[in-house]
Amino acid sequence: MPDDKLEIIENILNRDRKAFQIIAEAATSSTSLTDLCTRVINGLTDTFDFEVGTIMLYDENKHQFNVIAYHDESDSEGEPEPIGINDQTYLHAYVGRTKEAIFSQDVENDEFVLSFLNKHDSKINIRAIITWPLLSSRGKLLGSLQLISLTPKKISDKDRDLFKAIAELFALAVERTLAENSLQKLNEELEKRVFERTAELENLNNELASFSYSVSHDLRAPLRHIAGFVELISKNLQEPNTKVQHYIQIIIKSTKEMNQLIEDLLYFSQISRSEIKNEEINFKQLINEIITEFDSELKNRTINWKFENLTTIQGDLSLIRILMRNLISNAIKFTRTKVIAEIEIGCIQFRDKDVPVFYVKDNGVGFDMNYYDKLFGVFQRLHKDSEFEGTGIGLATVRRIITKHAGTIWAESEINKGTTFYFTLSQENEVT
Amino acid sequence: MGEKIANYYTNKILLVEDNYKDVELIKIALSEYNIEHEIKVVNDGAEALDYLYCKGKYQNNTLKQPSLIILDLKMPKLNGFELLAQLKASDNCKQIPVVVFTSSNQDTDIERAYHLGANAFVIKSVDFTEFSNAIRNIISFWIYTNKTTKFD
Repeated sequence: MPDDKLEIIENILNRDRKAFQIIAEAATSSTSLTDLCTRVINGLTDTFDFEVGTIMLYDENKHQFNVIAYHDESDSEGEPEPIGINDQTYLHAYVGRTKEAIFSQDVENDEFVLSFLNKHDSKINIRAIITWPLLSSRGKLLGSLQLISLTPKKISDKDRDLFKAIAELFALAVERTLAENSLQKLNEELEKRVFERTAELENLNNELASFSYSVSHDLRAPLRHIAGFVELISKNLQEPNTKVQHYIQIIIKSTKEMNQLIEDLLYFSQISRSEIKNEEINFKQLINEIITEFDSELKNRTINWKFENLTTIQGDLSLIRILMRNLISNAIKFTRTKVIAEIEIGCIQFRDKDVPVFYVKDNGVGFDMNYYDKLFGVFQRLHKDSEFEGTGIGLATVRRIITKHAGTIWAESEINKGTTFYFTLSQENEVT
Repeated sequence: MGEKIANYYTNKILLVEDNYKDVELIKIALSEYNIEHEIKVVNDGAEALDYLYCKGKYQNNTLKQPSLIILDLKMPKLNGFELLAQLKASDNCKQIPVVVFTSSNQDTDIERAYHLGANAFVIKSVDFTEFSNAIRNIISFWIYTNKTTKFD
């Protein structure tokens, strides 16, 4: 093969490589869709020696093509106006509808293309024109790309294949950039919504905080006044009246119950709001402290306490104190009918669990396992108030605290034999 | 602030409490335990400051610094915390023991009160016996046992 032929082939190969390189570089390093299209149209007109190049994007909602990048060396054609998809006078719309590229090496010999061009007063003498539809990977119309030359062009079959490949590659880059843009927009919207929602929640939290404050302060005051003045009535009664005294005692007892209810509700509402701390807790010491709190209640009781394997644990001290106080208080309460109460608190390692399981076990009155699903519900009680007083918030609080620690709680019980509460204070992992 | 210097002390208790029912219960509790101290009741923090600094409706008073201030937290105008902060920032008043006596048992309130310099935090019990005992303990400790150093 003669050297000049080789040189031509080499030039063609270099040109083709350069075209791909332009697309690849623009696709990887462009900062925006406009930047991508501008770089591509400039690169392609330069590489393939066309005077005018246009990239239009198709707007699905408006059914029209809009210019995104325009290159004009002849500087006389002018940037096209938006073109409707059903327009019969522009090749952009035509390739958009047919999704097939149009190649015209010389429009003078191409009546079909000429029929389009003749419908517009062009200031330049268009000779060769190529128009591709830009299609997404799923065949959706994204836009069009057009190159115009003022001299006729020889476009071989190989060139067509090359242009087709370039157009496909470029369309993919456009598709990706569009997707990135909408993803970014979605992200921004999400961020905005998260921000708004957070502000909303903070507001609600503040409202709840001031609500609990009012509950703790304003609801107690009238209660204290009722209890106080009723007690004073009782002291000021001229002559002993057992009936009146009985009524007064009922009123006083009710005020105490309501006070307990307020207290429990307050704890319950505080728990879900408070940020959980992760502290090292001396579990044995904590339990001893809590039991001391029940001293006055335990005066006339015999309880055999048993502690098994109590070491340091991790959790939120103030919450775990409320948790253990509730469970211990329950155990003390529901063993009241036993001459000798047995309460065992401990920690065991089950074979099928990778976290320690804590338990509080008593030999009290127990409950009917048929009602198990009501056990941890708010205001749910499994015993008559005349037998065992309570507000029905304790175990709901307990469960909330444990849920906050990502742990679980369950119970086993048998009527008149006793109850055991089991719980974990951290997330269980899959045992493999 | 034009503060008058306290030059002598009386055994007066200043009760800062807006709720007249609580005032009555506190007075009854005090009478039951034969505590002879005269109690001066003011209904909010602003009135307490007027009283302590002989301003407003107390401008014609001769200043008598109380030996103890019993302070409710939730009050109109100037609340308990705000008053506490002003008292403990004042050279003339900071030596007067302040016992916060409130319905609130919230940790945040307790912490805040001590942080502002409260000398004790006592919760108003719903149980009247406990309520009376609390008052008695406050008085016996802060008036009889723990007299603060007085200026000469």
